[in-house]
Amino acid sequence: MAFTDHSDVYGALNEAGVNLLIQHVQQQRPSLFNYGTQQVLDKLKQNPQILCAPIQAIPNVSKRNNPLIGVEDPLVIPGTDNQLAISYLAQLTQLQLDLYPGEVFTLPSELSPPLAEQHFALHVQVCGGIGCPTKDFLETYTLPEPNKSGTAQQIIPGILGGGLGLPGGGGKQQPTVVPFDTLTCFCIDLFLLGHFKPAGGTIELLLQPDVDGVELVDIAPTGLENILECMMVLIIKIVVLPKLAKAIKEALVSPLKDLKDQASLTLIPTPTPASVPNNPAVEDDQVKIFVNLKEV
Amino acid sequence: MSDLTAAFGEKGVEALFKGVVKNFVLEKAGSTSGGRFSAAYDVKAKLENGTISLTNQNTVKISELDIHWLRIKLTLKVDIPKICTPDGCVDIFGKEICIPQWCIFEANPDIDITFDLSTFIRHSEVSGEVSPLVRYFVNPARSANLGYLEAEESQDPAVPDDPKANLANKWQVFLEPIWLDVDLIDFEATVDELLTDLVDTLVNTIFSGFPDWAKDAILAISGPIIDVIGAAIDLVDDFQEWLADFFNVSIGLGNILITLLVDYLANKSPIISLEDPLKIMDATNTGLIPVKIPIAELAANINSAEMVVTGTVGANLGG
Repeated sequence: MAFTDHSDVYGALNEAGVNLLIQHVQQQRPSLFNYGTQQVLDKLKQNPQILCAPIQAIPNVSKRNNPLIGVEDPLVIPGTDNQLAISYLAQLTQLQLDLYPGEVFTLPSELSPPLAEQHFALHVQVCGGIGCPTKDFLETYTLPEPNKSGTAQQIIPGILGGGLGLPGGGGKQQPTVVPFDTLTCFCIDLFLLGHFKPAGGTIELLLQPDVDGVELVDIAPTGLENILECMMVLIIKIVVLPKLAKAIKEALVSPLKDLKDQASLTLIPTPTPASVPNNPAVEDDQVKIFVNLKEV
Repeated sequence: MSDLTAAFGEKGVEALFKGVVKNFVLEKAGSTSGGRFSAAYDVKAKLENGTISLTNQNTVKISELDIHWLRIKLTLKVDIPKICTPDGCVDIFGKEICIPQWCIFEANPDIDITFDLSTFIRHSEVSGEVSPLVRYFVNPARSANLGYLEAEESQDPAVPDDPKANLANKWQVFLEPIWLDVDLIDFEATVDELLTDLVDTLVNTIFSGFPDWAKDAILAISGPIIDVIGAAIDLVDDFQEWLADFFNVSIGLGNILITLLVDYLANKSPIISLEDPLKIMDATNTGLIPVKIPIAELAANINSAEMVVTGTVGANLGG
């Protein structure tokens, strides 16, 4: 049986290749897997040990001044009227993808192992850290009084990111970020179950991942676990998976670009189930795509 | 075991092949002489159409690949030996009547005519068999210590007009010819049409001083004239033999085309070209570097159903 019995072109990447690809993405674009505040990034430049888990990046990342972490706003402390915020760091490390049939790792019972047909699983170590305040800060800091416009202005020398608002400028007051010496970290295992939606009508809609379930291991109480899982689903589904899927698609479609460039042909995903039962297909430890050619 | 597999059915391989050959152009000019004929040529051709079939011997058979002659100008110069009527005087009834000598074909050359054969050469085509050949290309302009990012960002000095041409290493899959055959020109058909033009020119040359109505009358009865002149100087056979010899041997147009086509297919124009490392995420306008994966052990094989390209994802980017 030929690969192209039911399509003009076929592409496949096995899970070993996908996992190497993920490693390359992690090492070349670490800011996609690590998020934290500007204060964490500043501290990191002075002390690489501040991270919850080490970041392995290729030399070109620092050579080209690429950030190791994606910079996000600090978390505002409730009740401070947006005047005080705390630094945090969230890291996705040790990503492993398992394509049906699952053999790379064992799914937790909550995700109903074994891995179902046409599904994939992702194992991620999630590390999180909070920049807890120094003892001096806790003893000396008081919330400033609101001014006439109802917003507080305070600049505390030596406090990272403090008082960035423009006095009298009418802009939104930036919260003071709690100074910290080290991050208080934890690491947990996250398992994600997913599948690819049937390919759309264009090559851009070939790999559309969807999340069927997420499980954080050994978190209690259940409410906390659910909240963290909710956060993780948002980050992985909205941010990480689409970019990884695009990277996998590029790896698969790149050998076909000459068809588009030289032969003036458009690549169209082979329709399901009329021509192929699944497109993309997740089977035989591979993600497979089927593409037809259409003259422009 | 390979990590990456790409398979192209016959339609895909044919599209890749046609995409490559459509950019092939043969362009050549020159001249040669010998005997009564001398000639100059100026040709330009491209390839189009063509069908392929995949075989289980790791080859692709090519047929009906048409040579589209964009220009095939042939300038012929013919020096015909001078022919003169005898001169002299005769005495008729006591009166001396003298007839002057009358000569034709006194010029050198007597005929200087340029044909554009592209208008009536219709059946030139190439057939052959090719096999996939994988090469790893390292641009000779790339210095040994140039990193992969810098290589991608550096313009290839050999192709200054193409902003996409860079110094990155490349995996390339060529279709290397095993044999190629060119059916260049149908001479039998061509000579008939050529001679019609040639006779027109000949009559105009010989009878240049005659009025047009007289030349038209001569052309109308040119068949016997062609026979007479042709028989006299064995023109038809000589010309047909010379024309075939000219294209096939003297300038060896078929061999030139095959040589250029072999070099083009086997060395110049890959059907697949992948940068190594291969870009899977673009650089961003905020300065983030592109994400690239190294490709190793690329291979290409053909069976009767498809061409299968395999490779592995490398562990190290290098450079």
